[in-house]
This record gives sequence, structure tokens and C-alpha cells, in this order.
Amino acid sequence: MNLHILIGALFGAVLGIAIGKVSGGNPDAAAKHMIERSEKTKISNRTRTVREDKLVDVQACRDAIAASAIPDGRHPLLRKMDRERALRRWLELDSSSALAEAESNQDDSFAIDLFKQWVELDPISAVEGLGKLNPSLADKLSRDFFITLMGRDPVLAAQEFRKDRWQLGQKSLSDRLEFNRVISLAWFNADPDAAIASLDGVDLRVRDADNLTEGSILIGWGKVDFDAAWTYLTEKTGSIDDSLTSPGGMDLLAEGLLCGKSEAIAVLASLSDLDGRDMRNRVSQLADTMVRVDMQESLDWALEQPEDDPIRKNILRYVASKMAAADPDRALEMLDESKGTGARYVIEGITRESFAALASSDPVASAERILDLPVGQRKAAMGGWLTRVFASDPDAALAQCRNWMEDPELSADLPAAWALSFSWEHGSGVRDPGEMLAAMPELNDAVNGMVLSTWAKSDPESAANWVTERLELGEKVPFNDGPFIDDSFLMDLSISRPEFTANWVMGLPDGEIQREAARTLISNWAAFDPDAANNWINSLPPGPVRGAAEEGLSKTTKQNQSPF
Amino acid sequence: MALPLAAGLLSFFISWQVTKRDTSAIEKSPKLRVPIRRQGSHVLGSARSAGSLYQWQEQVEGSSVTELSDLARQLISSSHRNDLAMWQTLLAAWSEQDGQGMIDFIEKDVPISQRETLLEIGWFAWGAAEPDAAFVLGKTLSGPREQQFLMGVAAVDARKAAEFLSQMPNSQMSRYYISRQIVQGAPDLVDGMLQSAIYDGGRVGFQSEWVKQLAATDPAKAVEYADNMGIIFQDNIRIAIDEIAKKDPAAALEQIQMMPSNRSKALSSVTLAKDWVRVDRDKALSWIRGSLTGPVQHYALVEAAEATGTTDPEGALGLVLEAGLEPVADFYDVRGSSIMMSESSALPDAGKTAAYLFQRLAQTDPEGAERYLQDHIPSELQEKFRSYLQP
Repeated sequence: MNLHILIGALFGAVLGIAIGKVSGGNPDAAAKHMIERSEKTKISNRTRTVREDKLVDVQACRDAIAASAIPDGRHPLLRKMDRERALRRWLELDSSSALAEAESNQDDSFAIDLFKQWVELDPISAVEGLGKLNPSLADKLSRDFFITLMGRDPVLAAQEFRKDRWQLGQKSLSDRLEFNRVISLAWFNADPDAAIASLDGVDLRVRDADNLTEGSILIGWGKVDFDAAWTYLTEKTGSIDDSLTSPGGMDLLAEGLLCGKSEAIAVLASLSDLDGRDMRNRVSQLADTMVRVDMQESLDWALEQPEDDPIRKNILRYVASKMAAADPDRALEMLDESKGTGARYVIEGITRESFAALASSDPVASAERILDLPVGQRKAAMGGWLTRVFASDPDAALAQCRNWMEDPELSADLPAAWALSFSWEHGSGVRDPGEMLAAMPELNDAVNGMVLSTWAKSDPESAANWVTERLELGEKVPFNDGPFIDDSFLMDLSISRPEFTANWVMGLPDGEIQREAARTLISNWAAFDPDAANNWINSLPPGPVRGAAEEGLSKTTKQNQSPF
Repeated sequence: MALPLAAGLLSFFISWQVTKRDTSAIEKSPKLRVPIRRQGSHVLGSARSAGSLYQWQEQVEGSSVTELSDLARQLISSSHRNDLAMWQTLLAAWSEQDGQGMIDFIEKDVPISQRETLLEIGWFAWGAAEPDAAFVLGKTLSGPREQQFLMGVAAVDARKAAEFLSQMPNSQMSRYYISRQIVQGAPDLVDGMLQSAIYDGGRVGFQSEWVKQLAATDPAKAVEYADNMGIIFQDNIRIAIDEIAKKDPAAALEQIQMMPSNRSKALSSVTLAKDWVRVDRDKALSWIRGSLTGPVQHYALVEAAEATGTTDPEGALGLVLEAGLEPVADFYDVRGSSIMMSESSALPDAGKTAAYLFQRLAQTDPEGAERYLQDHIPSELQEKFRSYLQP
């Protein structure tokens, strides 16, 4: 009898777990089970697709969504289709629980995909659903939502997307510009007549955040019918110059040139009538836009132009900047061909990126090539080279620094090149120059604000101690070189090690640096730990440092936009 | 025989309960009624149901290349022309049979208004179906088409996607889009990808994904790695804590308790509050009230309110009122060019959250909302709250 109970219990438990896994709800387990089963039986792609008749309830939809996330040998778009069909079915079965899941699911892509399917099912109720959603989530998915809605019901979408609710929901001005740009383009694609009609009454000579909408419509129109769009724009603005500075004007001209439109070619020719500087600016903007619209087509087009043509040279330079990492030799050739165009920082940027890439494949040969470069490009090339080699082989990088320091042709450029390689933003992330400075103390003078800020992100205490030592020796520190103190290093210290920074401030020599350090510390520290910040202020004796700290307290930002 | 059977059934019931996902909070949440108006049933008529998608998929998967191009033409001329779910299925099937022909069709026969969107899906589809063949033509792509092509390749072969990436123009911009697949599918390539970045923006995707990967297995390592990355563009410690807390709030708390007082700890605490309150409201609130102070406690309460507003708008509204509606110090937006807008503008807003929660309460329980207004909202704010109920 006991054995029967044991067998029965065991059987029940196994059965329970098995059925629970398939139908009960752990989505990952259910998904794996479904896939294993389908693979074992080697059934065809078509029968492995989750059948509609199995999506009988919300739980089945959940299981299908979970299963669609796991690779199963089918084309990934077919798994995506399974997910989208399950979302659509969920909405058909119970839109309220789908909405609740969108708000509670920790992955925002659930809500984005759900609302795309909701738009397809019923645009009006989708707009209603979006309006009821938690506003921060609704803001996050509004861009994808309105692009989809434009395709499904452009009249409704055009009414809705310009409402303050959605415009103000974009986090920043650049987000708002992008929101209007992509949705307006979708509007043109879905309902060109209505989109073009919306341009009437708009002053296209004004370029601001709102009329980027109009610019996108013109760009869309130009892709379909350049002549009509260009004629409309020039008639509305009254001059070619105003047309080019209007939103979308430069993109329109770029499209026209790439399509070989005679009107666009005539406009390009007319640019040579402009004064030298204006002409150079317009040609540079146009080349930049053409490369952005289609890099390969622009390159092909440029290579058909005469070798000394300014637009050819500008296009080659913009293409070079994009190709530097993937094909540095070709990028350097194009940069050479583009001589006479571009600001110094652009040329240096392309050179830096190219030599960083070259150093990856052959550090010795690429280091030797630097002497062959024009003098103005060597510093950037050395900086790019050092950035890469300090990551892969620090000893070789140090040895190369020593070689270059002894080379009369390169030693003058070494300090700035070294500083570039120890500055964040150039691909190396945070870096601690402590060991390097110990090995080559002559580079201490090369530490600039970016190096110090990067150092503070890596090891704030070492960076701060270096500053103290420099001040004690009567040397300059890089954040008070100019008329203003650059506080990015102080800010980095204050947000990462406030207690250490408080002690460090008290060890600094009296003066403006100490006061600015106290001010910056408190303006940051008091924002997240006001008790500790106030305790520190209260521990200070009356005097300039305490005064500066109290100023910092008043600068603690209060920026949230409460409707109250 | 009855006893073993009963024991078995009991065991079955217990096991089933153990493996069942707890969705009770969602099921019990106040229902927001948003009815969907059902439409038709024919596959290329007006139907947009899940059932019609299924019929479409069946039709597509059994079709030859010629039949697929016919179906594409029918789709273009139907009212479903912008339904991307239908196009994805069609292009997936077509890319497996004739990717080059599919791209040619889109470039020549699809109206300009749809062409760019479908080219992006088409390149994804071909990249996933036949990566090597697609690369012959795809290696000169740029912009969104390049990104979609690489994402398609990465969806089936992350290593191959990394190899292609290094040979494509403008590859620095596209690397972000395949960082997740490379971290998951070819983690040994991550160091090389980090070293080959020429801007720090080219590192962000890989580092964030690596932190997420570590957070799933070793919370302490995830936080240590995030700390070593420094604050460039974003606070990676907060990202690590978010990932840890979604799976194990107690482990996230343990990590936070070991941190010194700094901005990372403040951001992480608010993040933990948001994640923890979803799974254990009482414990999370007890921690917020007992261990956090000042602006950190304020933002933690607001985030907790927003996270629980779906299931309990009245309780959530109480949390915002407890936090206070006046602005407090902002530690999200610090001066310094390295902090991205997405982080510096992520400040939880008590006023906006209160307005939304009150609207939500009024939608699900109008009388309860009126009662709440009278009993809990300070009299000087009642008029303002009433205005949120106006359409």
C-alpha cells in the first residue's frame, strides 16, 4: 500500500510538473519545452509555427511570446511574427490585461510591440489606450506608435501627433526634433497630398524646432518628385539662397544631385557666384548632406567630377571620416585628395582614427609611416597610434613615447599626442596615467583638463593627490589655465568621492582653487546627501571656504517641472 | 487505490501551483476599458485579426518565388500595405529562396513611399537567411540598411556579424546595434571590440551588455566592472543595480549597502525602489522609509508610486503625497559633458506622477477619486487636481 502511495505521488508530481511547464505559466520553461518537442519530432517550419487555434487564452499568448524569444532554427522574422500575432490575439481576447502587462513588464519593447499591433487592429482604441497609459511609458513609445499610426490612419495620426501632450512628452529639444522629423516623413509616405497641403501658410524661410516637420515633408516629396518639390520651395522662399537655408532645402538639393536632376546641377553651378567663404560653407554643407543621404552614391558621383572640383574634394573628406576605422589606407588617400578643404580639427580627426586602426593591424609599420605625413597631421596620428597601443601593449607604447621624445622631428608633438591618448572620448574609456607619469615625469606638464577628468573617472583619489602635489610645487594645474576654472574634474571628484573630496579640499592651499573646489563639492553633494554636506559645512570655521561652500548649497539645482 | 490517486492528484496540484507564473497582481488590477472594434475576417480584405495573420503566414510559407512576388504585389495594392507583420513574414520566406531577387523587387517594384522601410526589413531578412551571399552586395551599405543587415546576420551568427562589421564603412556607428548579440553569442570578441573603438560611444553598447550579463550571474562582479568603467555618458553602476534588482532585489540591496555615499549610490537606490516595489511592496516601502533620506527618499517614493500605479492607483497616489509635491534637489542633471541626456533628464517628477495617478483613479473608480480628493488632497491643490479630470 505504501509503495502504491509513493508511486502515485511520484507519478502525480511528475505529471504536475510536466503539465505545469507546458500550460501553467513559467514562460521560459514552457517555451523551451515547446521547442524541444518540435525539434524532436522534426516537423516542418510551417507546422512549428504557433497555430492560431492554440492561442485560446491570455496564458497561451504569454507562452507564445516567451517561446518566440528563443532561437529555434527558423528565420528570426518568423519568430517575430509569432510574437506579433500573439500580441494581436491578446488584445482581441482582453485588451485591459494587455495594457496592464505593458505597464508592469520590465522590458519596454513589450509595450512598443503591443501598441504597434493595437494600431493595426483598431487605431482609435489604440490612441485611447495610449492616452491611458502611464505617461512616462507612453512618452517612451510615442515615436514608434505614431510612425505605425501614420501608416494605418494618417488622418488620425496627423491630428494627434502635434498635440502638446506628445510634443512636450519628448525629453529634450533634440528628441522633439527627431520625433517631428520621422513622423512627418511617415506622414508624407502615407498621405502625401495632406502632408503637402499642410505646408501652405508656413513660412519656409524660418528654421526652427517646429518647422522641421515641414522640412521632412519636403525631403519626402523630393524623393518622389524632385522638380515639383524644388519648384514649390523656391516659389515659397523667393530665392535659392533662402531655399538652401530653409528646413529640408539642402537635403532636397542633395537628392536632386544624386538623381542627376538638371535643376539641381544648375543650383550647384550657381553656388560659385557666392563670395568665397559663403561658397565654401554651402559646398561643405551640401557635401555633408549628400554623404549622409547615401555615402556610396555620393562617392560614385564625386569621382565623376573634375579632380579640383570643391564638392568632389568635400565629399571625399566626409567619406574618409566615415571609412577611417574600416579602411584607413583608403581614408588617408581620400583625405590627401581632399587637400584644401575642411577645418584642421576635421583633418586631425580622420588622421587620428586612421592611425588608431592601422596600429591594430601593424603597430611597427604604422609608427614608421607617421614621419611621412605632413607636419600638421603627425600629432593626431601619434595620438591615434598611442590610444590603441596603450590598450594592447602598454610597454611598447611607453617605449615608442621615449623614441618619439628623442626624435627631433616628433618630440614637440609628443606631449599633446600622449594627452590625447589619455583623454576619454577617443575610444579608450577611462585611463589612469599614474604609472606612465612616473615612468616619464617630463609628461606631467602635458596633463590637461581632459586627462585630469579622465583620471578622476578612473582613480579620483590619485588624480586629486596629483593636483595637491603640483600646487605644493608651485606648478600650474590644468583646470585654472584660462580666465575661468574648468570644474569638470572637480565635478567628477564630487559625485564619486564626496567624503574624500571634503578632506582633500581642506588640504589645498588657500585661494580661488580651494574655494571653487568647496563650491563644486557642495553643489553636487547636497543634491544627493544633504545631511552629510550640511554637516561638513557646519564643521568649517567661518571664512572664505565656508562662504564658498554655502554658495554651493544655494546652487543645488531644483529643476523638476512640477505642474503644481 | 483511492489513496494513491488522491495523493497523486494532490502532488500534481502542488507542482502545478509551484510552476505557475504569478500574474495575479495584473489580473486583480483595476480594469481600464479600452474596447477593440473587431473587423472582418478575409485575409486581404479588411481583416487584421491574429487569425488572418496566421492564414497569411500559411499562404506565404507554401509559396514559390513567383507566387511570393505575386503576393507582394497584392499586398502593395491592398489596405494592408503598411502592416509590417505581414511584410516580415513575406520577406522572411522570400529571403530564404531568393534574397537578391527580393531586394531587386523592393528597389524596382515597391512604391518609393514604402521602399526604405521594406529595404531595411529586406536586408535584415537576407542577412539572417544567407549572410555570405548577402554580404557580397551588402558590404557597401550604410546607415539604417547597414544596421539592419548586420542585425539580421547577428541574429543567427554573432561572430560572422562582427567579422562583416569590421569590413563595412562607418562600422563604428553600427557596432552598437549588434553589441547584445556579440556579448551573448561571441563573448570572446568583446575585448577586441572595446579596443577597436575610435570613440567612447563605440564602447557603450558592449559595456552595458556585459554589465547585464554579469548581473545575471555574479552581482558583485557586475558592480565592480561597472565601477571600473567610470562615468562616461551614463552611470553604469545604476545599470548594474537595475539588472540585479529585476531578478533579486535582496542581492541589489546588498551591493548598495557596500557603496560609499555618492551619486551612483543615490541613483541605484531610486532604481532599486522602483524594481523592488513591483515584487514586494511592503518590504520595499519599509526600506525606502527606514533607510533612505532627503532627495533620494523623495525620488524613491515617486518611482515606487509610478511602478505600482497600475495595480493600486490610490495607494500609489498616497506615496507621491508622502514624497511631497514640491521640487527637491536634482542629482540626475549634473554639469559635465559626459552625462547623456537620457540620464540627466530622467528625474522622476512628483507632480506629473500625481496627476497621472489621479486620472487613473478617476478612470477606474470615479466616486473613489472624488472621495480621495476630499479626504487626502490639500485644499489648496484640489482645484488643480480637478482640472486633470477635464478632457
